Amino acid sequence: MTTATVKGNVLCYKGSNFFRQRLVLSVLSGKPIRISYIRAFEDEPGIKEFEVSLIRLFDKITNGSVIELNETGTSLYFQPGLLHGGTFSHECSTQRGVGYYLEALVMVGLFCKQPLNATLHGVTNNNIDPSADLIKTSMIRAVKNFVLDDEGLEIKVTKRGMLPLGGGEVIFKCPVRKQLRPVQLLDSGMVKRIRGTAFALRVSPAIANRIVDKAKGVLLNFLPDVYINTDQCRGKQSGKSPGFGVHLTAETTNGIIYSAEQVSNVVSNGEDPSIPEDVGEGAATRLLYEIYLGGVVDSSSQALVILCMALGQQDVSKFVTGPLTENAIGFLRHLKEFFGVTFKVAHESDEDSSGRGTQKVVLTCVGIGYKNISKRTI
Amino acid sequence: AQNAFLERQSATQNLMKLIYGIFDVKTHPQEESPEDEDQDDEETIGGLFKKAAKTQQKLKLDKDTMNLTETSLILPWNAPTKNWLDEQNKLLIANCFVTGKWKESEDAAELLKLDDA
Repeated sequence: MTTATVKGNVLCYKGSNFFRQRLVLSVLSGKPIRISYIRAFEDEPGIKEFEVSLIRLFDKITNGSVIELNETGTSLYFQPGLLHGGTFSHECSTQRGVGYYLEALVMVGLFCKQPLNATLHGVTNNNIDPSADLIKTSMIRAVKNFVLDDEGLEIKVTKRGMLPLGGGEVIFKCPVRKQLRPVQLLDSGMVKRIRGTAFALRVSPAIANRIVDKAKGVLLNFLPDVYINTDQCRGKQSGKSPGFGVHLTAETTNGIIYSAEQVSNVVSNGEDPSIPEDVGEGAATRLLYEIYLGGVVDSSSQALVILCMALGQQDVSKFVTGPLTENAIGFLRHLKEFFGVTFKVAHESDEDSSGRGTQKVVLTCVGIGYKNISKRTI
Repeated sequence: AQNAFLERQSATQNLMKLIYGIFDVKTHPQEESPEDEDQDDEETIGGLFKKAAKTQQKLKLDKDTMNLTETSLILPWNAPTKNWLDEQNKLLIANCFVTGKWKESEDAAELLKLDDA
């Protein structure tokens, strides 16, 4: 289950899994953490480049953090400082997508002292991270449930960049909020429209159209309202490496957005080159899978919603999600260790759920009334 | 593996247990450790076989998962999923769309009927 042991006020963990969650929760709760045995028994021991980059990012947004790393990089001590925020730019490691870093920023952004204005450079789309587009559509939508005034909360993809060289640029702006409000979201509604963006970088622009054709072909079986844009990036906007991909969103009658995406394989890494039609079809079926999972957020935003619920005012929050992901389960466990919040998790009792996807999960919790100490009430 | 994971989740009625487990015991392992030697005696069955210690089993499990790649996705974008165009699979999600069957409380036709009545 969990590996935390408490020594004094330091939470000790083992292994590199859930590295980002632990850092995020440490910064928010102010509890120092020690992580040991990071890939200790592997051929390349210690933390990797992308994790170093994440630590640097946390160093930038906080004030007075203490970070100690041992020589081999297998053990890390992190004592969080105050969340400061402000304007900065950050060079993300190309091993992970910009989304990996952006997600952490979305989680802490509302509680900074200064509004965030972050420019992230790196890989905007890959196959293991939520892309900048997904965070823009699904995650920001999820956060907006929890704040009354979402003015100034935006993500802009100014340049796209694919593996292996990256070269993308994303601007994330986030306002400062004093506290989050409790929400009760139980009905996801029905999918009413599907939108999307296909892009082809440093390859023939016709490829984007081929992706659109195939993706539409699959989705039109379910819904007539499908419209997929092509985003023609030219010159510097298209990053440093060739590639193509598509990002699809399904919006429901209640304004909830499910996202899915897929990008081409990286040929220079020795993978087989992708066929645009396959990418389109893959993304479309993946979107259908996301609709099948359902819930009031899509599966990649579960952890974010769980965090917002736990930090909300001291009132009951209720949320319906699809089946919990490993990441969300890990997050629930860590929340208990850092903040002492336990969620009530139960299956939704279904009256008539035939043809509505998997069995949903109801999350209930009482917020801890977390307040942004840096934000003054006027 | 992903399907197995989903099935396990839907089969487990008690999600709380799946997530939190016997949580409180594990956060204070130091308290347990002095008693370890006594426990060893208790865990032999018939003086011959030894039960694998629970903690040992747990360590083994942790070793498998502790260095996994962290990602918020339920599975990588390019992982294969079901063939949704298959008629049977289509039915699974048909009512998730506005083109499918609406809930009775929201169905316009049903509501109109109520008005007439």
